[in-house]
Amino acid sequence: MHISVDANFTLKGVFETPVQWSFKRSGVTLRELLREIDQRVHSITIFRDNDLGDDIEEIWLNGKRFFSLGEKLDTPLKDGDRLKIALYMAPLGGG
Amino acid sequence: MRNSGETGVALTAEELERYQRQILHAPFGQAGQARLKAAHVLVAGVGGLGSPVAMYLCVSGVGTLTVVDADVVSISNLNRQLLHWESDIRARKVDSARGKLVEMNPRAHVEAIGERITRETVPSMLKGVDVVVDCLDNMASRYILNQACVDAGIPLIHGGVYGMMGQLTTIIPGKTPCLECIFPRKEETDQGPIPVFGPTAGTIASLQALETIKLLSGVGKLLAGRLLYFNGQEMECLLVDVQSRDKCPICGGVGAKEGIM
Ligand SMILES: [Zn+2]
Repeated sequence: MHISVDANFTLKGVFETPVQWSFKRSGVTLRELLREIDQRVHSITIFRDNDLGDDIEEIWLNGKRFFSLGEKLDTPLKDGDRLKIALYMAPLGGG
Repeated sequence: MRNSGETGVALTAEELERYQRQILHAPFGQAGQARLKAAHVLVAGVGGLGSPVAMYLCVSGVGTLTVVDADVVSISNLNRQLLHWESDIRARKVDSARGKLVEMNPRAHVEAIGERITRETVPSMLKGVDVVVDCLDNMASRYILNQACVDAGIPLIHGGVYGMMGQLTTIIPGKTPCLECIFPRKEETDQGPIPVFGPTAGTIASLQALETIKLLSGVGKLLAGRLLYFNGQEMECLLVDVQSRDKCPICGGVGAKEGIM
C-alpha cells in the first residue's frame, strides 16, 4: 500500500516531501507510519504514547485533524491515504 | 575611484583590492560591494551570535554598523563571544566590540549603543537602518525588536541558539511571517543561563551574516518565509516553511492561509 506524505519541512536527502510511503503489507496503522518517519528524522519527536509529540503542531489524515481521528494513533491506514505533518518550531532563546 | 551605479557610492582602489575575493563572485561584483558600503546594519546584541555577525559584516565592508548591548563582559561569556577577551572583563560589551571592529576594518563606521532594547529606546536606534540582525539572548527583547522592525518596515534576520541547536530565518515586513507569527508569545519563564557551544553560535551567526550580505546586495535566495533549524548534535538541518498567523497582533498575518492543507 502507498501513503502520500507531505509536511511543512524537509531534510535534504533523507525526508523530502511530498513523498509516497510504501508498505509491502496492508493493515498498517498511523502509529507505524509515524514511527518510520520519526526514525528517519532524529530532530523531531512526532508522537508520545497516544498523543502527538511536542514538535508537532498538527497532523491531518485525508484532511482530518488528529484530534478528530477516533482511533488516534491506532487508526488503520489504507492505500491512497494522504498524511500531512506540520512541525511546530519552538524558539531557541540563546544568543 | 569607481562609481558603482545606483548607490552613487564609489569604491576606492584599496577597497577593490581588499574586497577582491567577494567582488570576484559575479552576481555580487562591484555593485554588490558598493551596496554594502552604502548600508547601515544594526546588530542587536554582541554576544555569541552578535560577535561573529558584527565581525563578518565589518570585514565584508558594510559601511555603517551599529552595535547594541547593555551588558558588561563576564568570564562565562568567553567560551563563545569572540569579540570579548579576558582583558575586557567588566568592560561594556559595545566598547569591547567597537574597539576590535575598528581595528579589523578602520574604514568601517561603528556606532556603539550601550542601552537595553525597550519600546522606548528602540525607535531612535532604528533611524536610517537598512537591516537589523537579531542576536539577542532572550525572547522578550526579540518581540520588542520584531514589533519595531515590522512597524518601521525594516528586514530582520533572526537567529537563536540552545546547546548544539540553532535556528535562523529572514523576516521581511509585509512579505513574510513575522517573529510572533512563527513563535507565538507564551508565558515567559526565566530559564536562567542557557547552554550554548561557541561553534553552534558561530554557525548560526555566519549564516545570519551571509543572509544580511545577500539581502543588501540583492544576490541569491533568502530564507524568507522559511526557517532553517540546525541540530548539531544529530547533524541535521531541517528547512521549515513558516506560516503567517491569521490574527497575529504584530503584523496582522500578512498572507495568512487556513492551515497548511
Ligand atoms: Zn506576525
